[in-house]
Amino acid sequence: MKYTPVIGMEIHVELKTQSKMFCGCPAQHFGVAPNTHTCPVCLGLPGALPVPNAKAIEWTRLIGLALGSTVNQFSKFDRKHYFYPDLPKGYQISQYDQPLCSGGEVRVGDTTVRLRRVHLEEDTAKLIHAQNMSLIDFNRSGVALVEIVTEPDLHSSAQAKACLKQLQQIIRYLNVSDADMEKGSMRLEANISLSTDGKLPHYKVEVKNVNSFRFIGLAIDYEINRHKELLASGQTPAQETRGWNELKQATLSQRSKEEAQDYRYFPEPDIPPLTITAAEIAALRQQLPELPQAKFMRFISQYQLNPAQAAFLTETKNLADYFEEAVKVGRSHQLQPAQLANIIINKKVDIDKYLPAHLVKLLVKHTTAKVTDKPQLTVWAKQAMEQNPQAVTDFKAGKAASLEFLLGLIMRLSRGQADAASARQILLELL
Amino acid sequence: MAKLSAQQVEYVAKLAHLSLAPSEVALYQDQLSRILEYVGKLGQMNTKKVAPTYQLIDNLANITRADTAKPPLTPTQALSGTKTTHNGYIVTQPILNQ
Amino acid sequence: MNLNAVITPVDKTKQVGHKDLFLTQGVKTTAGAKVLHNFIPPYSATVVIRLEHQDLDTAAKLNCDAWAHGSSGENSDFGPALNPWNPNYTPGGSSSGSAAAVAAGLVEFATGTDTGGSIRLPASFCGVTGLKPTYGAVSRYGIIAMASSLDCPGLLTRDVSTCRRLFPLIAGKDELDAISQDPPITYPSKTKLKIGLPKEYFISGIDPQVNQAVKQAAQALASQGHRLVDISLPHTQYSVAVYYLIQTAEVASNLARYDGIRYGRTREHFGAEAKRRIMLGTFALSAGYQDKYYEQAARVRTLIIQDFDRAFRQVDVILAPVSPTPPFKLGEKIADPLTMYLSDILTIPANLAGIPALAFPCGFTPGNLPIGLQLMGPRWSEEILFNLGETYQSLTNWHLQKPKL
Repeated sequence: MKYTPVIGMEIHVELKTQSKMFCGCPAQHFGVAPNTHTCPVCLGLPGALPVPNAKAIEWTRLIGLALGSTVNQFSKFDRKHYFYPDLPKGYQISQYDQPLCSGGEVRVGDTTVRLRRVHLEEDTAKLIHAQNMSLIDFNRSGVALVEIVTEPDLHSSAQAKACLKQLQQIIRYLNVSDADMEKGSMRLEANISLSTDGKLPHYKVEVKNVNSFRFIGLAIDYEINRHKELLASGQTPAQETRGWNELKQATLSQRSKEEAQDYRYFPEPDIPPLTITAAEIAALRQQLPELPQAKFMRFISQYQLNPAQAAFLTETKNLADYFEEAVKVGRSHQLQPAQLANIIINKKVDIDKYLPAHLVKLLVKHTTAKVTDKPQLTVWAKQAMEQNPQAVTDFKAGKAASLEFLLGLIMRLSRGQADAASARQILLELL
Repeated sequence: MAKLSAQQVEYVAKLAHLSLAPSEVALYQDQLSRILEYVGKLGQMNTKKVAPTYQLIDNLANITRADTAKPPLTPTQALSGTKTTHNGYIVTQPILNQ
Repeated sequence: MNLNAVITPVDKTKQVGHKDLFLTQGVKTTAGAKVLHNFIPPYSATVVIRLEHQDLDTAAKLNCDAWAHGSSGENSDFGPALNPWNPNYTPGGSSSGSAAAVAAGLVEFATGTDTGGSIRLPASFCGVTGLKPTYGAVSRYGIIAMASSLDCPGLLTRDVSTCRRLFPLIAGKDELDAISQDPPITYPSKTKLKIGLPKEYFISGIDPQVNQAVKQAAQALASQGHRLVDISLPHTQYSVAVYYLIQTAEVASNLARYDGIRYGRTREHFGAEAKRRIMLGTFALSAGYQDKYYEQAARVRTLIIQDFDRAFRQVDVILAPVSPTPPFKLGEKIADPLTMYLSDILTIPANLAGIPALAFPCGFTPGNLPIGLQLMGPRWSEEILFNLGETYQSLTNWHLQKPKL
């Protein structure tokens, strides 16, 4: 039997706004004393009313634009009802049929993973399970949460991890969330099933509570195997929610009986709708920074870097900006981008410690031994002269700048390794 | 519509997190069925071309607040109505998970 | 006589009675319900704070139907308030204590909420003035929510002039209530108004005493040069059905937070009426039924709103009775929920349309029980209603009568 894994993901990302989604409480909750960042609204006290955070709405639309989604001109909030101690109102303010963004995609290698939607909602409180009781901390209750839903277009744990990594990178580039899986500012649920006939299977298993890329890979692989075995023996995997158990290195069922939840969605009566014009969407699009993929391609072509170097340097926007600043400064010291790339990557430069200008200064001072080997320099010099006969003519006609031009070419051909003084001498001799 | 079954009433009560005594189930079966029959008459109206009204807000839209943090309640205030607390946490019955 | 209008006395020397849905910081707030019997809020409602800024402080927390569910005060978990004109009769609800306290002179004025008539009905039954403002004119922040798209915090006063004077103190946009607004429009003042009399509000089931008192009031206004116009609001008959689907759905949702974990008691302590509405609302929103019940009701709501839009192109205000009957006896309607729901048939439409309505006394039954009427206007037309109400009260003295206590 040939099985094709069918995987879709729901990713939740905590926005790093100053205040919460529907109230003015500080949104910071990691490492904060319990129930010290709460108010009537996020505690769900009688009489409290929600007022949405403008920044959170803007950032959700930015995420959508960065992911190629359509920013919907009309959107609203809805109430999603269920009872759980971490949900103070007995409903979560979320979005149902008119989310802020629809569609979008993430390219993972050759696969295009379609996105269904990007929407905005409020986070729940934190539940801590103790011996005979559960403890609730409402500091996290009401924090702005973006939900990204993919179509079931993934077919392996490797693809899923790659997709997640890309989403994480893009979101970090936008500087709207730390998207840290270990700290919980990025969480995910995967829906997994196996198809035997190329069509969407009639069941799916939800896997939750995985807080690292490694674990989601392990959990998906475990599930794929588990489903294979069940299907091979003629059984269908139960439609349920499972969690990853690190000790057992397995997924375990989290609910004994999974009933389809009836959330009784209806439009949130306390909040007017959210609208945006085409002109405003265009203006928002201008606010997007250059995204990782585009920056990667540009680094290769503009700085003559190889893909590995470009990927490393564009990992974070911070590092990429640092590199470009160093290149700018390095130009006046005849330092080539490739040189700087190598140093930054191989010497594992601490970019928080050294300013780009500082780094360049250090480099110039400690330049590694330059090539002074006469034959090698002659080869490069001759190459430079052959590639630019006009420059040779110009120099012979008295244009001194052409020498600098040819010297620069030699530096490029030698990837910065040529000793400038010796190369100049060789060049003069040849001309 | 036909009278609600006891099962239906119990299911709705479960959705609403209400526990009902058997006598209550029977009572609500009666009362809810009557009310639903009365309100169900709305189903006879042709509303295909009528948009629903969920809010009376004239043309209000995009009512938001700026992203500035404001002083929260003190933990004493936040926990003031809670019966059982523990080290600043609110206590509730244990949730069985795994 | 003890009218049981007060749940928590605060300071007899102060002026305002607050319906016990209004949160008052540090002072027990119960919503008339056992679930909240010991709830002491850490904050106050915006309306409470705005009045305090004018040195109008809390005298008492007033009795009401639990969670504002009721038209007679008999659903209060603290026992019903009594009608000061005759303690065997209900004062109307759900702002039962508010109306009784104002009529009996226990407070200078009171706050209330009107979701389906809960200010106008008790005002009418107790012979006082009651204002249901335009939906969104007054902040709902800090008021225990009943039905979010219908709740209107408002006032009960001894006369229209007082109401007019106090209304600006509580009205106006509140940054804590996203739906609240300052009036986006004003109406040009007119000396001669067209007053609509909707035929659906004077149908055969109406009590002849009520019919007569209200019609006479209309004539009194006509004698001042205003013109009476017969109009029709054809979808009135569907109001109760629409209301009891939308309201109960929102009630079920708003009461979901009462789980006894952070405050109050657990859900077994809900009374019968609350349970009934929660289940009705949950059913109306449940999978497989939402389209037929909740959605359909939202569409018919649009038709009811359009009735009023059409009417207000013909007339400036609408005049109608508040209740098809005069005040009824305690225990008279409590047996069948549907019967009680139907007593709101004349007040509900204004809530569905979000329009303002002002109720004030226009007569008494031979048994000396008050009869009231209501003026309804388009959204943001409170000034027109106040003008007409003051005119009427300059011609009559029903509002000056006081019950014998």
